[in-house]
Amino acid sequence: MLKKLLYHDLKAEMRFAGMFAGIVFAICVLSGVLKGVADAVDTMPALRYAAEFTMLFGGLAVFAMVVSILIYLLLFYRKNLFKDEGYLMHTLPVTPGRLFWSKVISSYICLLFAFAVAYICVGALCLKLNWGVEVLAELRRDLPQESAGFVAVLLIYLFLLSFAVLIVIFSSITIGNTIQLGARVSVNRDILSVLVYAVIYFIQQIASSLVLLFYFLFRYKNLLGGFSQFASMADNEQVKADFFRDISVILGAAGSVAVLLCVGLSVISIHRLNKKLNMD
Amino acid sequence: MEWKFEDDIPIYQQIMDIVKQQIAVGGLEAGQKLPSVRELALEAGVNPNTMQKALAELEREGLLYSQRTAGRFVAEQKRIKQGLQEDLMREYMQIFLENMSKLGYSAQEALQLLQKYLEGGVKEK
Amino acid sequence: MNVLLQCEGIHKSYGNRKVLEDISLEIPQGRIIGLLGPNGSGKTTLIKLVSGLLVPDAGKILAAGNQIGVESKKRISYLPERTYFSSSWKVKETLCLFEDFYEDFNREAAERTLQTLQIDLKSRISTLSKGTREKLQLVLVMSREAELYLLDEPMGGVDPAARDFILKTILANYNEQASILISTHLIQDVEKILDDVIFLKQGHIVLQKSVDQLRQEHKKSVDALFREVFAC
Repeated sequence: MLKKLLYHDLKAEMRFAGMFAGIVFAICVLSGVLKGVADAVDTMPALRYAAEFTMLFGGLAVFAMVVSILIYLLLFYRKNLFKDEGYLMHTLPVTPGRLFWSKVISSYICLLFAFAVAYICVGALCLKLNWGVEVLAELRRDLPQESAGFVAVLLIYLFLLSFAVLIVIFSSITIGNTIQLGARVSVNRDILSVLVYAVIYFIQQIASSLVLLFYFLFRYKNLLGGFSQFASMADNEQVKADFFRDISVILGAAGSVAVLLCVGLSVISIHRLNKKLNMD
Repeated sequence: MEWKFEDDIPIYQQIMDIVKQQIAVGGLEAGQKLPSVRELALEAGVNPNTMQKALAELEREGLLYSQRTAGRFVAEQKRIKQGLQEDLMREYMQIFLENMSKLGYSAQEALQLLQKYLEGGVKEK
Repeated sequence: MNVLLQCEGIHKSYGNRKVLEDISLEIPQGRIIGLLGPNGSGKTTLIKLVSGLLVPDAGKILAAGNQIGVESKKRISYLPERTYFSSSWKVKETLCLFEDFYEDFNREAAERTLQTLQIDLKSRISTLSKGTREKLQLVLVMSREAELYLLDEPMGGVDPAARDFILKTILANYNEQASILISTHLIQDVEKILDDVIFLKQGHIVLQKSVDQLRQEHKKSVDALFREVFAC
């Protein structure tokens, strides 16, 4: 059943994502072509201006595409489960857990698709498909030998972060739409969802700060002194590796907190869908 | 068959009346096979259970009979046809007399008015 | 004979407002039952509770022998009073969806009926009129061989000819193993196809009888009786 849900969700989401991505891709390819021509034919300033303009436009379009797809995904979640379409979704013979995870997974796939297209589009804009490798290589040059792993951690962290962001947003929408209100109170469910998101964000920041605090206490046995010692490490070539290792650990710890938070939120969301559904 | 139903009598009874009427006037002939309960219910626009109840009652009264796999048939019965006609006649006359008594006429008066009507029409006041 | 729906002591409130109070009923196999009551009497709430869109505050519901969940949803076919498809979908996609998720869905029968209604499978939901959308949903819901059909105001906002079609469709798909619960306030149209009726007034069941019994006892149609019971 999950696979079927995934198929239907993905199909619906990719309709929009694919279309938008396709348009932006076309713009970037066009821009790249213009740039290539302008580079080759050095003597026409008008062409150069056109190329620069479309490159700027293309860059903005790529950014807009990723943001729009993310927004579309969360609007789709909200519409499909809590508006009229919810009458269909919640009466299908599937568990609420499957409904939730199908949305999370299909949205994640769409998001990765958006990232991939963004990468290719930027490559098309500067006519260099391996621009990402070059950026990573530059980063590596600033880092000491031992902390090559830091880059890997960073990338993994970014991938997991997008997954976590989806879970947090979807959970906010779910909780916002299933909170019981009095009969005379009519609050906009969307505002409620945003408030829930704010609360979750707040909790997450506190949790992350606590992780940081405990780490410094543990590592340096002294809070303020520890922090200044930590900051000075960044400039000291010898202990730069330690510095990056520290950051990796902190990221790892913060990531674990985020994972716990996401697991908790998923459980809460699925429980709300199961027991507290209140379709208007 | 014309399926028209009144409001104040159970529908299954009205179905029975309609079928009886059809048999009496020859719209349904002896030995004729009736459509299935579902088809009849669909045609009449009524609940199949209601149709089933009516047909079962008619079977009980001997107007229909059913053969296990073949379906339901109109029973062979001249006597019953006549009996039906008599039943219906009596029913119609009963209704007439009841309505006339509602207007305030006794049975005798009703009879006289009826004769007058047949001879030349009741004059309007 | 199986009991297809069993409600015991159902209570449901929206905040302070009590919508259903101590509702208990049993629906046996093979019946077409009308859930009748004015707007706001709790008909839609009761149906949503059985279909799983709402959770009762108290009480027990057993549908097709199961608690409300995946197993009950497999056996219940629900028709809401609103369009529940995304308007960007094509008719064909709704058929695919039903086929994918409901084992008891008869796709060929549904397509045949849609063809008779001259509904193009390739047309988008957004291009269909309200009446056509309602017919489409009804065809899909009734093309499932479910045990319990829940029809919430199937004839609301629809012209008389379409109402006739809806009644015919309901009758044509009737089978003795299943039961149909129809909530409506258009009683005159629907009365002839009902076995039993349940009158719901301000969240309480005030009457539950067969149509035959009612007509015999009160010498009037259910529609007329309804107007008496619910006179304003």
